[in-house]
Amino acid sequence: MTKNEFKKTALGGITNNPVFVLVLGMCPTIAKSDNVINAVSLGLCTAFVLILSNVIISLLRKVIPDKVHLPAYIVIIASLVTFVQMVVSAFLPTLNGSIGAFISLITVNCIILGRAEAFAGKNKVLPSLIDGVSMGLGFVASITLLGAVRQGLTAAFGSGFFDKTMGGFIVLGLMMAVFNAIFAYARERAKKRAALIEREA
Amino acid sequence: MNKTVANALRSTAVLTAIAVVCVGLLAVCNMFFPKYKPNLDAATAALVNSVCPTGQSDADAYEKGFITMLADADYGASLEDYNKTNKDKKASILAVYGEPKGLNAGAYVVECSADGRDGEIVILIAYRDGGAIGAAVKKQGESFWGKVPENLFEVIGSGKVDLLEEFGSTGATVTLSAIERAVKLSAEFALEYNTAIRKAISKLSTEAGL
Repeated sequence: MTKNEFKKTALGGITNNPVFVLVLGMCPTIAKSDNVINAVSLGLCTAFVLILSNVIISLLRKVIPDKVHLPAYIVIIASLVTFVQMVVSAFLPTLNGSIGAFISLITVNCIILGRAEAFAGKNKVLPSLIDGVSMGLGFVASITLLGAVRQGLTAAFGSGFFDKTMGGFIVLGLMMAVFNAIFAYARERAKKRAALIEREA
Repeated sequence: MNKTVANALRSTAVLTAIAVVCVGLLAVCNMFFPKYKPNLDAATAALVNSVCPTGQSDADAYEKGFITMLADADYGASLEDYNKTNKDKKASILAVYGEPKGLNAGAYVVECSADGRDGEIVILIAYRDGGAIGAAVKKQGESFWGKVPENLFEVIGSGKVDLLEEFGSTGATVTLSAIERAVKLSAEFALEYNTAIRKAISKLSTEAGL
């Protein structure tokens, strides 16, 4: 893995942020970002499954025949999700009450299946691990940020809108616009700086 | 062997192997998770006191012998055998707590359980003179618990057992069905052992000099 490849993979959680850029896993993102605790918890559960599934799928990529790779990925992801569900229901019953229904849905979360299909199934273990950690942290950060903004807005304007799906979509849309605007500005500046350095050289 | 058949066989074998390994690992993990065992602790005593009031504070009811956990031998039953016999009912009786003194002296609480959508649901149902007088949930991890009607345990406490018929429209059908199975088995148990349990409680009262 070259330094450039490492940088590209490690920064994947920002440059290809699952929520703000790829717009994946919207169902749990909207449903459970009504407050910070739910958002962080679901984000961490998803990140755990994403990291481990990336590693396992990458390890088995040469063994799994092409024709059954999707069912095989689903079996692996579903097993990891079942493990997470067992842990949460055994040790965190209160949390299970609030996000339990969405833990099962991690199995069909597009972020996980998407990374398995696009990255882990084609790359070695270390890059897949880095991709899983980067994407997982990217998801945790974005869902937590969304949860914090929604909780803050709910505290400021009262419940009934920002803690509901409709308000969630509006806040997500605005945050997506802000994120992409900042990201585009940063990319443009970096490009200009690179051109300037090249010209000076 | 034809190449297509060989590929199909290989795919099936790999998929089966992955599934078997995953299920095996989950089964091994499951062995290390804590298993629920009924016991009379302060929290259970408080719940028992709420469904079958002793007329005392929770602490007094627990510490001063107003609530006691009955052993199988006290009322001549074996819960293990009873549960084995009723295995097809997909519910079990876990314990019986008696009240030898207090406001509802002679009443008892049956702790029963059934598997819901997300694991075991444990319920306490109080009986006096063979009829239900109160109910409460002791343990549950149901993700659809919010859909369970608020007055469910009042209804159970009033002696109704057909919960799905009454509340099925709420959507929490798997949870309700589990609760219904546990309530039905508990009612059958209370009907069968009512006299023996009451005798055992009465004996405990006499021994305590009441």
